[in-house]
Amino acid sequence: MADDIAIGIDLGTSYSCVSIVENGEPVVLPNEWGEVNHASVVSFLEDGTVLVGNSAKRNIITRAETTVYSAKRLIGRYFFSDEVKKAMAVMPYRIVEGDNNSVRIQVRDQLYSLPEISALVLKEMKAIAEQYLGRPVNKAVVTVPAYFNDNQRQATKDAGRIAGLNVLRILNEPTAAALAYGFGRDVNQRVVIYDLGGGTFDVSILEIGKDVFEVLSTAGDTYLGGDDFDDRIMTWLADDFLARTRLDLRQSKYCLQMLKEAAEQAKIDVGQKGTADVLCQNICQDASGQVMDLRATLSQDQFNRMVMDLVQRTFKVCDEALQSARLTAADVDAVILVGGPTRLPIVQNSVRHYFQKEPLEGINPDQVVAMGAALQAHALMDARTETFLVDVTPLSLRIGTVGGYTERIIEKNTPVPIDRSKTFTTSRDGQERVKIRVYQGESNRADECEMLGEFEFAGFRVGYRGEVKIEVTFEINTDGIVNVSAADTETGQKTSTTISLSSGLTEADIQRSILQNRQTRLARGMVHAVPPGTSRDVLPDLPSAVEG
Amino acid sequence: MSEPPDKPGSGAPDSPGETPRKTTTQPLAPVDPSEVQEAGFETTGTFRDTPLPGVPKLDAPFPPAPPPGPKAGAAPPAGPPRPAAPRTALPRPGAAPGQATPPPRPGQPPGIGAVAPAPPPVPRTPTREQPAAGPPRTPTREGPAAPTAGTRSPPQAPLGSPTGEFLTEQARASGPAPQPGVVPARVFRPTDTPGKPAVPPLPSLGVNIAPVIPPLAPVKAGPPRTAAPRVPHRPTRDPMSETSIGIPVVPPLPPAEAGGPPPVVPVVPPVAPAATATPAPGDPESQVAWKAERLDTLDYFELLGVPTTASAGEVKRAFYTESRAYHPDRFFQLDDEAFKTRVHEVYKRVTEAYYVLRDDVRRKKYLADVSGPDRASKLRFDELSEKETIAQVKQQAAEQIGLNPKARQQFQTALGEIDRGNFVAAERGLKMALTYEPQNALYKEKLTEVQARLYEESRGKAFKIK
Repeated sequence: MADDIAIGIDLGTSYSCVSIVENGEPVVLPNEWGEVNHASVVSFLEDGTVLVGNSAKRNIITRAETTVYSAKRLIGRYFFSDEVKKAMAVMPYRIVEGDNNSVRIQVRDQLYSLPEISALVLKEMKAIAEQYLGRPVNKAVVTVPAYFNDNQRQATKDAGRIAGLNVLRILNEPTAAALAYGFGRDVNQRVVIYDLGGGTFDVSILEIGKDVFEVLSTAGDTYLGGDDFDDRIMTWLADDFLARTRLDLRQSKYCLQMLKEAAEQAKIDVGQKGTADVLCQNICQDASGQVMDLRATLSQDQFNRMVMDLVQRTFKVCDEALQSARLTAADVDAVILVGGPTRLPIVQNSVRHYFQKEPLEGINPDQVVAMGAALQAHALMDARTETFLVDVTPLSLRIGTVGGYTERIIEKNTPVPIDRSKTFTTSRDGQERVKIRVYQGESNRADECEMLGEFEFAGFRVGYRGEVKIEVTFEINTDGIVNVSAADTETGQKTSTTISLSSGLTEADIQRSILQNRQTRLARGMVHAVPPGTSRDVLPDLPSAVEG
Repeated sequence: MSEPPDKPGSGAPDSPGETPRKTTTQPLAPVDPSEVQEAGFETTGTFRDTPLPGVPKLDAPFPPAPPPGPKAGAAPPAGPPRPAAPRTALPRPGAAPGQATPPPRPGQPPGIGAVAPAPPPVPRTPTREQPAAGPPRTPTREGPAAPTAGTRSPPQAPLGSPTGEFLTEQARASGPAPQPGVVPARVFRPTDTPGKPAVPPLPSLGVNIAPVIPPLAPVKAGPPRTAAPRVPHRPTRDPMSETSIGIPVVPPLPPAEAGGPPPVVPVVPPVAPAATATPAPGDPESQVAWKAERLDTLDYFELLGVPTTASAGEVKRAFYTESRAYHPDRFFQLDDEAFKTRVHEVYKRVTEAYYVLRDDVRRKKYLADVSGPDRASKLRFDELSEKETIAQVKQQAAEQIGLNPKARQQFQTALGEIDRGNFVAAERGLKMALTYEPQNALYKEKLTEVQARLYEESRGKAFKIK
């Protein structure tokens, strides 16, 4: 029976949640200190153990170089991508380049891939669930932003495997939220999920027909989230401080961290109380060694002006989603807000104004995604519960053609799973292999799209050029992950495929990481008393279902 | 952690204390970030030897040492609540007051310049919004790619239409239904396909021109048995669309023939299949098997179980019904991998059908395809169909108003002239339009029309004058 349970994990940029279904109702699981939102922060301690969660978050300042956070911003990205460059500038931990343009995090003299970091967060989630349930857990549904591309999904899936979890499904966060809302409610509605998370913004429009959840369209911005709101406040605080003291706090990553924390708190306060008092004691010393404090007061108005353009940007994305679904804001029956920043009055008011509708009340924006994931996990495990998610692919799938251009194979917002075939031929006599580059994105220029990988086909009949026809089938499965296969159309012979993903982990890497992850011990938060009888350090050795 | 703030409108208290601060921030805007930052990187170095742990020490960006800077000297130590002086001073630190500012740093006292290999300037948060042009990234990515393209042959351009068509058909046979059992199973099918090409399309008739099936049954004992169990589930599963068709009694079993002729022997008892049908209804496995086997002979309408005349709403409802029956999640717990692949194949085709049929343009094109003579090769809406559709849409637009803007303009004025009865001007306009777009059929048609009118008019006039 032990293998019968599957958990739902919302692996967020800043916070993660884990949930299971109990008696037909999704329950968000607390850790031993009663916290249900766990910071997605991994802190590597001196004794070799790893601290994950809110206690690790406290280490961002004190052990900045060995504490990794916001890993989700980097997962599945190439080292040369803008996001990575930006992160290198602001993150106190060391980001280095690995093989094939991949990104690695250096902690002391150890290199970690991003899936390995995320795997540690997942491992913590798993441990929380195991402790709650009192038995091992090895199956999970993990959520990702709807706008994640194939590389990012694949990397997330790898993270799950490394953490010893059999990832049943990679689920889109907005879809999960819709599921949590519509499950068992027997509604027939069109709903908009406005998901403003820590690092990403997604909007999905779904049509719920009882137990069928059809995503009509999805759109998003992977560079927009609550962190950007914090950044605005940080900029303001730093500029203000600079003006008064002529000291630039941004020059020190340590000051920057304190600023970041203050800004985050200010954002929350301003949302709740309408005004925020910022106080950072001992934030720095000036030239003469005098210790300085940072004080400021942020009013709602000021804050609104700072972030208005960011909020407006979300509605451009909403426009796009509505347009793809061929709907107008008036066709929408309900609006569901997901993600911590949607608690801000400015966001709520703007959403109300845009859709001319009250956002739905009574949905916890931090937990709804994890609950949806748990429901989906439950539905997959239990033959009696039937919910059918019909998701779409958020990005067009393209192949590279001559001259740096691409050609579209599968349009965005096409329901998945789906496959599409294309016939290729050889260009030289006696050619033995054909290489195809696959991209995802909306531009017809290759360099403006995200490259998923190169696929090389061999093993087809050798013949004169143009004579050999290879039919290549591109498939997007229910996880939103792309598979490619090829066959010689005349002989029907399947050709062998080698996939050289440029930033993915090889199978050997994964196996090694699995071992390493299993040996890594999760530390307990130092600030908390250790509850007697906790056996979290033992858990990693539990049997886990890891497929070869 | 935080409760949803109930704070309504924000506008409220801009307390008097803040307003001054706000004004203080404004003058800062012009500060050139790079300048200030660079100065700062030196300070991270000094920070390490700070005695006070946890409190990073920041040097003033403008060392108090060089007094020449009129304001620089004054500002940092005092940290004065900013009168007008610093604000004017700050904006241009790098440019004007040479000595005090970062650029001259290299020549400055060693203690400061030491950290020379400063990392690139910390991008300040504002940069975040610019998605940042990717010039640096392009080369990296193109780098490895280009050479390979040279040595190995790059992907080929898509094939021309005839081959493509042929190929897709072939692939279909092998591709989607890899189980060896499938193809042989269709042996008895010949009867249904051959009739088709010759047959005039009957688009108005729904999927359910099923009666053809019965004749098959008598011919072979075997086939009907295999086919039989699958017959029945259709009605149970999909009552909605059935009723809409109006012949609910007949199981739409042999949809392969849908487009085909109902001519032969519709008389034979449709009862028989219905009777044998009963065992199957509840059994999802046989449903899937049934569908998987016929995957390559069903068109999208048949697949979804809707008539070709179905409305968008009906298509959607049918898709939901099919989703409930064939969604892979439904069979997730099963261990039978082969069966799961089959479900997956079926469901992929279902979503494909829905994708095509929900779109009016594609649907129209597809309907024309499957009710045409090459139905067999057009059952799937492939890349070729997609291209043809796009071409068709373009063509239509072209025919409607013309592709060339000048031609369109001339054509519009010509139409106006026709309305006004000024046929000479209209003829001129149309001829002009045709010089821009000699191929446009609509223009030509209008022109002959106008010329005919002119001819009549001239005859009439001539008659009158005489």
